[in-house]
Amino acid sequence: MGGHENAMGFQHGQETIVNCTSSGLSTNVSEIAISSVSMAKPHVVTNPFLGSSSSSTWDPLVSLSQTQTFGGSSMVSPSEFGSSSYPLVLENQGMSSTSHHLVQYVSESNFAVPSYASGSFSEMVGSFPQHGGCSDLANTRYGPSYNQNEEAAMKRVSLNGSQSQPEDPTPQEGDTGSAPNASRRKRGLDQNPTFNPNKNAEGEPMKDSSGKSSDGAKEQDEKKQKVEQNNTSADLRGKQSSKQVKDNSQSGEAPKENFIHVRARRGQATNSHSLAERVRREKISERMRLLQELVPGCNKITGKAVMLDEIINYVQSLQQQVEFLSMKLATVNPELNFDVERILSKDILQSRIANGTIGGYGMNSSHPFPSGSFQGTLPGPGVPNTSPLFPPLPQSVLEHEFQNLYGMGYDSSTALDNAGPSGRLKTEL
Amino acid sequence: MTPIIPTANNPASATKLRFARRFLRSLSKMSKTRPSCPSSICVKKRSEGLKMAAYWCMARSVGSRRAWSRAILMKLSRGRQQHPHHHNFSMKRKIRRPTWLGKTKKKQKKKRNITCSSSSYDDEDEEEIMKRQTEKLREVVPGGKLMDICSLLEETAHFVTCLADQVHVMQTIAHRYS
Repeated sequence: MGGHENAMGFQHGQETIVNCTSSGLSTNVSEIAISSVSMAKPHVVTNPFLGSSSSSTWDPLVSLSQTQTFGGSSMVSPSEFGSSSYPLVLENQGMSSTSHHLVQYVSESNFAVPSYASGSFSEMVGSFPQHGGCSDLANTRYGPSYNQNEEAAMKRVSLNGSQSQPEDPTPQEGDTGSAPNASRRKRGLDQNPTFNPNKNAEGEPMKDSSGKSSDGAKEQDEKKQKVEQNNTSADLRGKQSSKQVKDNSQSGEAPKENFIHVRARRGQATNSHSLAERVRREKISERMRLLQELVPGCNKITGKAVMLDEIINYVQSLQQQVEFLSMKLATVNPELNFDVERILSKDILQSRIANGTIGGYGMNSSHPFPSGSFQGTLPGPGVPNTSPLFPPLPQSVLEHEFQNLYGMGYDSSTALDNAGPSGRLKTEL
Repeated sequence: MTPIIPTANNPASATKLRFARRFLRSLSKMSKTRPSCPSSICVKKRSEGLKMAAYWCMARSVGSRRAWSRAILMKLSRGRQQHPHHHNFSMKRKIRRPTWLGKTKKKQKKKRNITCSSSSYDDEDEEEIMKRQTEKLREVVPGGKLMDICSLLEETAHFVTCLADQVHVMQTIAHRYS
């Protein structure tokens, strides 16, 4: 059933791998391959490790993949390990039907270990730190070979969970060194939750499948342990994958059940697309959550459209603030710059005026202090020039705040105007 | 009160300090090279130049790490090549007119109205709304037209942080001198 399908898949995979390697390890190719294939896997693969009912069906697949991998590995020459990104692609795709590359990759990674310090294999090994030698290899392989990962690695990067987490906290794909990429690629499950929950999901199934096929029992155990470890952190992904698995098992026939984790990858094209879309959507929602934290007053907003609106308004308001401030600064004569720099740095450190600055966007200016800062920020002579900028200001949240700001500041600014720039300086000093 | 960005994160981020120093330096340079005249036109030019200087300083502080900072630097360097007078920021603006530096108010109004009207319609396809908004976001964030939505959101987040820092620093300076 599933095993036969896997066998066929692996055979096809071998062929494709050979073709791929002959055509050159282009990251683009790997990218496309990974993205199309990996999507389905991640959610599903975690299930067997989670101990769901599907796990029993998954194991035979693993064994099958292993046999296939070893067969396929002979086809791949170590010389093909030129680009680290390509092995990544292969590895990720692994078990699932469409991921022929994965099987090949696993075998390739085996070659890579002795001959070429490819990050992919090290990642694989690294993901299983419990099994001694492999982890050592993984650590040593984090060489410069990973710099080529680029986009292809990126997607896989998310997969590498545990180890890469400390290394790459920020969602800078590709910016980090080879090590985080490598570790991330393989880990999958324990990935940075903020960074790539989706990616991790992708990586998990692929990682699992590839790992098992590569080193047999040893890696299997490592992967299982890894998965279990990752599962604790990847609850969300696990849930998603379990859901998917359940759906698959319910809808699919007996052979399909074997593919629960892998099925999305190879089975129906629509499934893989939907999985890819889901991963993409998760990524986007993750970033939206980040933005939600950044923009003040957006904690209660649910929904992408409104959120995007708020973000756009906020950015525009910030840019307008910059414009106002530049106009204000244009009227000022900076006499004592050098000393002020130090003082300013202190102010910046204390972020005294921060409350007034961005608070102006989100607060009702009920504080006496912010109102003072508002007075200071409003350009004196520039008020008549900038006033036309106020009315067209955003409608929703911003408008109200800016009206307050304008109303508040105008009176004070007129007073300041009377004082004159020199007067201001004197009062300041 | 909601926590302000600088206090929530690292209040004295390296980027912020770098920007502050650079901006102050350019400020003093500008004031030295161009004596401040009280005329409104002069003030306008100066303010525009200051605005450009602020963005340039922020982009330099961030460096090439971010797509948006790279976009800003490229735009400004292109403007500089066309006009060797580095302090003549207003000219650069006229040449290039980067949308993220200031769209016309009418444009903004139009776009906002469209968004509002579209959001009021329930049957309107969500995708269309999203597309319009992402288009807007692309225009607002420098270098956003070349990125996919994922990286666009990422860049927006970083851009928002840096913009907030920039505004904070400029407010501090303005407060100092007021």
